[in-house]
Amino acid sequence: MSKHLLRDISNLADQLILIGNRCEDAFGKAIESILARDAESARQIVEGDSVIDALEVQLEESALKILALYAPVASDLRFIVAAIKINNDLERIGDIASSIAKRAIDLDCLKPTSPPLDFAEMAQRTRVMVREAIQCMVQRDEQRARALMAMDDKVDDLNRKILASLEQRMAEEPEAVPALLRWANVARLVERIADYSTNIAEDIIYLEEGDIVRHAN
Amino acid sequence: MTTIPTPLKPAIRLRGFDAWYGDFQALHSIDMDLPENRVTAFIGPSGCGKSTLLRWINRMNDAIPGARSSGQLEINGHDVLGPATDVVELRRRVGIVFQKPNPFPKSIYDNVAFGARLHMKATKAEMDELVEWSLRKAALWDEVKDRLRSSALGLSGGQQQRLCIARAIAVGPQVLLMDEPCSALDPRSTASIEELMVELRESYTIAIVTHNMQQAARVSDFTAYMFLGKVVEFGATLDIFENPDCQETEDYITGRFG
Repeated sequence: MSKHLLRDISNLADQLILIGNRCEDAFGKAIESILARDAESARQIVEGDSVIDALEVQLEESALKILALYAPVASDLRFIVAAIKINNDLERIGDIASSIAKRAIDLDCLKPTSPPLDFAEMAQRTRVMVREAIQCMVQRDEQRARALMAMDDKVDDLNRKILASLEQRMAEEPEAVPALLRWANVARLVERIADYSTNIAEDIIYLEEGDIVRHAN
Repeated sequence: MTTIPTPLKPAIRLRGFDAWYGDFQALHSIDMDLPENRVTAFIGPSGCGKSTLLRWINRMNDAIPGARSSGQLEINGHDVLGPATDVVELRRRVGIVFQKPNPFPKSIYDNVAFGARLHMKATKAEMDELVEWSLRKAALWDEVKDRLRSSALGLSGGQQQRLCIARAIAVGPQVLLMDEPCSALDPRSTASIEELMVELRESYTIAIVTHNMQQAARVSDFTAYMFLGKVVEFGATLDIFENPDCQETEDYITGRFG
């Protein structure tokens, strides 16, 4: 039984990496499409979300199968629980990447406006967080997960700065308000992706240490 | 040494407890407290000493030539091992249920009354009451109340095991020892015995040896993992099964043992 369990757990880890890479890729491309005003590429991201959804369901079914057949305990149990939660967080990241792509399509139809000043930095930091979350997951590295959690504050700061600057610009350029509202929405979406990366880090800490660190602050 | 959370009173106390079969040392320096009114499960591979430990608690090993022990073993402050201990009285206070149900070839009623008759004088009415109380407590009354005079051997395996539990509790024990009580039973009977264990712990301290780890996880409050005659880890069952401290425990319960 143990060999079968190990094989199924290893398959589950592979599925998690697959969906993780897909989501990271979707988010990266969504940011590129919005900065480049590339509606065509944005449409592909929106369409690609159904693949992520299908992978999510597949992974959940694999995890449920392991729970039902092997009744795993200790680190195996924690891995399955963490995998189910991370799977959910990754799927949300995929959804949000698709929402960002939809805003890119909206913006393409509007009068061009320059992106908020700090947006490129915020997006880059969040991309690093998503990549780190997947690396922590692959390497089961709780130290790195803790470092990742600390990165979220800076993204929150940048989001606040962006919203403040957008408010100011809306007052100064009323004709750009429809586009600036979309940018405010995009900043909020990116900030949520950073939050989901933090959730994944918390799940890695639970997986490795058995402690639930969520809501610790 | 392994201690239990402070509000819990230890019912069984072992300190530096060693046991031998001839030259073979089966238990090494066991230090643990089994808390009162809780279920403590012993898990570990075959031959690790869990049944040996259980059998020392009511001195079942006295009958085995060459079996001896040293160290401290107390039940509610009373020495178990000393020469002054009345073994018959000890076994009244410490009931045991075995892997295979072992009812006497007598009626259901007489099985329950048998031990009680040895320990107390009772009128027929009192004995009827005790038999009913014991069978109710063992969750068997409703199934057998109309055939108390029929042979116990006609009962199903699960019913026989509950009858053995009724027989054990009829004499008013403080501790119930269970040595793989469900391994010969089907899942339904196993479920009824497990439910019973959870109810019985309100009145008794229970120690159970089981190879079924899910069973240990379901019914026990505390779990001890034993290996080669030593208690490797002892703690709250939830901690042992979610995040054990020792790698050996982790390897055993996740099936990576050996």
